[in-house]
Amino acid sequence: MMKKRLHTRGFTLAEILITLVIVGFIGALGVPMLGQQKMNKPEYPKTNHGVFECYYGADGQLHQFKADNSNRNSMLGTDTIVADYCSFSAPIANFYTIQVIGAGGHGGLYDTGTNPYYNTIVVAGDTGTVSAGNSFSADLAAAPEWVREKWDNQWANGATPTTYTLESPLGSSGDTVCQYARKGAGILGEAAAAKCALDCASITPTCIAEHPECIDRQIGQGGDSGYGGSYRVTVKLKHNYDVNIQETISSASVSFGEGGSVSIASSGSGTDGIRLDDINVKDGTNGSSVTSSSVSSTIAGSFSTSSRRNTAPNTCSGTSSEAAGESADSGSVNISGTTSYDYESQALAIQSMFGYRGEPGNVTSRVVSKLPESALRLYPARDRNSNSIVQISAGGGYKNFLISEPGDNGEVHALGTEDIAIEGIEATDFPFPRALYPAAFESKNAQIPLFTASGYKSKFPDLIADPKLSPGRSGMGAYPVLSIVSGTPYYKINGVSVNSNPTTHDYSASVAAYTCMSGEAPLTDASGRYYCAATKGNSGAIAIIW
Amino acid sequence: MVKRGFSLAEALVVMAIISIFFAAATKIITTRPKPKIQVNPHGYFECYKLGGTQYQRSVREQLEIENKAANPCTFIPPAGTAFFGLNTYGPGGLYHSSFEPNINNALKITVGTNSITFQSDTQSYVLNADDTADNNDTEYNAKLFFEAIYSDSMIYNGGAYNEGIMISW
Repeated sequence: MMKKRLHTRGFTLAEILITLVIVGFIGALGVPMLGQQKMNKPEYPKTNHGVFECYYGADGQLHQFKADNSNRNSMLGTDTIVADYCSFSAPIANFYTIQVIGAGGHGGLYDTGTNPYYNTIVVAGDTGTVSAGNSFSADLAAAPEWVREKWDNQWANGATPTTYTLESPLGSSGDTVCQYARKGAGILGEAAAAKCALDCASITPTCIAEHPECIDRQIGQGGDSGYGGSYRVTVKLKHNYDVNIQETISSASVSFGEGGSVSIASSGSGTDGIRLDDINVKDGTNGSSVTSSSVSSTIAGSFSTSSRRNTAPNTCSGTSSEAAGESADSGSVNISGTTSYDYESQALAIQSMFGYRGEPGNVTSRVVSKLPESALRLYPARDRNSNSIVQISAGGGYKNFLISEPGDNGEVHALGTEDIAIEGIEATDFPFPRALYPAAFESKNAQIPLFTASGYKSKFPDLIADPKLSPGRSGMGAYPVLSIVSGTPYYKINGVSVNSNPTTHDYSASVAAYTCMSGEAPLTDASGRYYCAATKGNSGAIAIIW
Repeated sequence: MVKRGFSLAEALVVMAIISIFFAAATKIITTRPKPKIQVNPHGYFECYKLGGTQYQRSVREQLEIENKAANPCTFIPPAGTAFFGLNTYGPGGLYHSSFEPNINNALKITVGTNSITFQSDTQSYVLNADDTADNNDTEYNAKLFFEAIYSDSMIYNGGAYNEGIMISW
């Protein structure tokens, strides 16, 4: 037996049992640890979330879509076409956010069926004045650029130049002396003269008052100033001149920047005063006369001797013993002919009819923590002819609970009320002045505050991404596409045209590559003018999120 | 004779040991953690005036908890509630609707003639009928809100509306 046992190759039962016991013991020790991990998994309360969306689809029909996080199937949602309204029965939830989006307004001109178009017109442009005096260069610097550019053209077109008349300064005249003297025998006779010699031994005020028959009034007139000269110069002012007029006691001068200068000064002598034998009469002072040789000028002009002079008084008044001569005059510069230069221009413009984009539909939101058991009825607006409405059961019927009005139609600018100057517009401004583009014409989405979905699908992101389906999106505006604008505006300086060349802006080559903001090619009206038509505002929609 | 298999006794012993092992693990194997079910505690608190007297009334899970005269009313927010809706009907034409996520402590509420005053332990706030931002709803909407959603409230009062405020969750 022992011998046989020694040849056994397997384990004995006892060995197996012992092994099983050990394995079982170790396994039993590990069970609580393994199980504990499973049991201790964090558990979060399952919160009901979902979305209910009522919208118009690409097929033009009313859809209601519902998705929530309750199970794998409902996460994908169910989309159903409904007839008149969507019906929402509130699931259990903490709260509900109801968003009502009104229909978008149409682009301007959509309702009227009128095509946008434009005409090229000429409108009033700049006006102003440039003085021919000292402020010439300052006035010219402040004028529009075209005035400087085209200034010199006026002389070739017959504009009237400016004439400056310079008059020389005049010296003062001499003072006049007045004197009382006793009449002699040659006037009064011997006897009377002898009597006067007794009555008025000296010339006193008493004698003058009591014996006027004995007194003679004598006047010693001062000298006159010399005659002045004048110089007339007619100048065609250039745009780079700087006019500088000086009027002083010694000269009158005009300089014309690079164009030269004219100066006329006082010189020469006045006439002598009358000198009586027994009266010391003053000569005229600073009397001056001017001859052509005293004029310095680099500009052609004409000189003449003026009749102007200052003369001494030749009467005495009262008891004064002296009458003052006239004071000296400064030289002067007088402008005649064109004293100032008026300028005016016309501008090329377009006179247009167009319509701005519509306004997006209004959005109304409301958060409630409870909804009635009766289903809400949702009526999103198909177009802006109606409101988007949520109705709620109350008082045995349905009442309007939330309302969103549609956006306004785009503003229409009629021909004749909107003139847009295009002078200076560059090719990059094509096809329409960018000051109005694209904010004024491009459709605008409704301001939907919340539509995100997590753990379940939502239709709204795809709808919003599609300009033709985005709920409440406004219609695109209507605007002409400029191809050729032309006209013959004028520029006038000093009453004459300085440029009347026809002006043309030709953008027709660019139209072929242009697409409207809708992505489509421009349309053409009966006159061959291009335009982008207005589009319809999108339908409204209603979403409930919980 | 060569012994080729186990005896019945041996097999029974093995079976017994395995049984004990599975018996010990049964609890773990059969236990499947289940997600907690969402609890949606709903209710409302209203502070209203009836016959010149101010009342406070609480309803939780459609059961009236209290309805008593109180001046001021004292609202103690239920624990674990994230959002509260504030809706008024009157007084003085004050029609207000808003959502408030941050009410943590008790509020003392007084319904005035044209305003409603809230007093917490730290500060006060007044909803005023003359303030456009406060008076942000219409009478029609305010009435419809109570009629359609809280027709059991004392503010609705079967259509004979009492002025007051409701805090709902």
